Amino acid sequence: MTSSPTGTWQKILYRKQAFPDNYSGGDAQFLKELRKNVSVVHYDYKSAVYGCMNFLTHLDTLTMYFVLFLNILHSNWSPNILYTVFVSTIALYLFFCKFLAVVANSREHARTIVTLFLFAYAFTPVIRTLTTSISTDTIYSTSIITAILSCLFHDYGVKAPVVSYPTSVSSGLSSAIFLLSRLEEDTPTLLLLVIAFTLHAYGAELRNRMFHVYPVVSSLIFTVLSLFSVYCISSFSVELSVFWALLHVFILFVCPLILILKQTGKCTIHGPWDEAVPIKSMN
Amino acid sequence: MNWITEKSVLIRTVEAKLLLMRTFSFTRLLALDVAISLYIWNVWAPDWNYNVDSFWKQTSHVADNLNGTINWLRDNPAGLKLNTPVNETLAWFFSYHIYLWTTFIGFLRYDVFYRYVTNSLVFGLSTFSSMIYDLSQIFFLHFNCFDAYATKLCYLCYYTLTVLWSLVRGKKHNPLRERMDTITLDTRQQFLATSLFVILLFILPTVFVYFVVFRSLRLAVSAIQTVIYFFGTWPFQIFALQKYVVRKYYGKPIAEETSDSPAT
Repeated sequence: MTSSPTGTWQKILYRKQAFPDNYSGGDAQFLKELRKNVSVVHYDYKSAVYGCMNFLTHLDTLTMYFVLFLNILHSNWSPNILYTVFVSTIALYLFFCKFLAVVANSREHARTIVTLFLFAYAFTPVIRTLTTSISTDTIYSTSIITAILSCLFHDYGVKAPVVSYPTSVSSGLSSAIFLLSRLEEDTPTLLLLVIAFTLHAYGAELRNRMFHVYPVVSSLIFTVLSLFSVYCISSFSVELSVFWALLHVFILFVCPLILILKQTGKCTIHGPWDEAVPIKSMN
Repeated sequence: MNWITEKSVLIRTVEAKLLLMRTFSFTRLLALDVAISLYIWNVWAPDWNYNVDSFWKQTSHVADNLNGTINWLRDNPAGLKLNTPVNETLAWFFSYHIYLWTTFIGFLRYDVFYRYVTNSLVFGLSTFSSMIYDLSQIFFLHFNCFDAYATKLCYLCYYTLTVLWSLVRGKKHNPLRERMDTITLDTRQQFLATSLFVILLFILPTVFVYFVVFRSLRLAVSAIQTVIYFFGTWPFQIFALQKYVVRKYYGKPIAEETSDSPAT
């Protein structure tokens, strides 16, 4: 009911003051709380390149999956290669469970493996005959579109709002299922299904942990993988493999450079006009 | 407007007819009913056997047509992308059921049955139609079964698909608060949800086509049954119509109904 004794304005609501309701303390008072670039993160070139490497590793893995599928479908590669890939996937999974998984629980992992194999085995004949009446081109394009969708929602180690684990895994797995419905036999279908699932469900976590724990080893693996994928694509189409190599160079070196050049222009302002944000406890 | 009502002969005669309907008693309606049935008796009775035979021919024709439709669905008509194994299974299931239906109506093929139906003409057209209606209920019992199976299957597929679609996006319906909650499944649940979703997505069109076929069959049958039902109950319907007309045109219900129906 009374104004404050000194006559100066206070930023409180519980007492009536000798100022209009929309008064906010005058320009000097108001702009005193202005802050710039509070939450802006500045990246250096090396970490940006590592981030791109992480992204490209996922793209290469997906490409290798497509290449593996096509070669198995056209019987270019012997089934032994598929078995090798399968065994190495399982080995990678066990390595991940043993050394990299945040919560190591062998019983849970065993349950997952049993469930996965039982249901994958049960679904294999269904999946194999699922789209026999639909044309191959439709299936391939749907598969590519869902794979791109999976890449969009994939977790590359950056906490972004678009990252969604269920959407990424589901669309990646559906992409694989679309592809697998072209196969003729049960065993390759089963193996490829399990590989695809492991790739999409655990690939993100494995890769992020690898890049976090062993960055040098990971970049070596990435180099081998990208060279191999370029080589494999060249057996289908040389132009495509050249394009693929150029894309690698562009994403790996030019995109981080653009980021570094552009991030000096980052400017955000914060002040009393912002809407209130609840303070979250960090972990 | 008033002038048109007074001058138009059509409107005046219609009003006179409505007035006449009021005086048309139920006994007279029944007499008319019997008269029509006797007429039908006269027309049909001489070649009754021929009529029964042609009825059976039509029935086997229906069964043949149904089998034909299912065979037609078997080879992906009109560019429908039906799932081959599911299509084969459903076709096999439904054609076996049609076979069961033909066997079932074979048991109804008794002469005494038709003698009853024919003789019921003596009691009037409405009795005859009621009998036909009841027989058709038994006769087309299996069509309701076809429709029930196809509907259940289609609804199950559709419902599961909607649930799985939200699971695939990491959402779940919360019935307590009537909203979609975010849910994080573990990897094996995610695997099951996604695989089932893709499988059901490709199976649904096939199931839906069978649903459409058997639903339209049932609707056709129930359209015929509705017509028969009308003939089975027509004296009562006309009688009810009289009451309705009286209430509408004279502003008050007839004597015995005054207590429970308000005048308009």
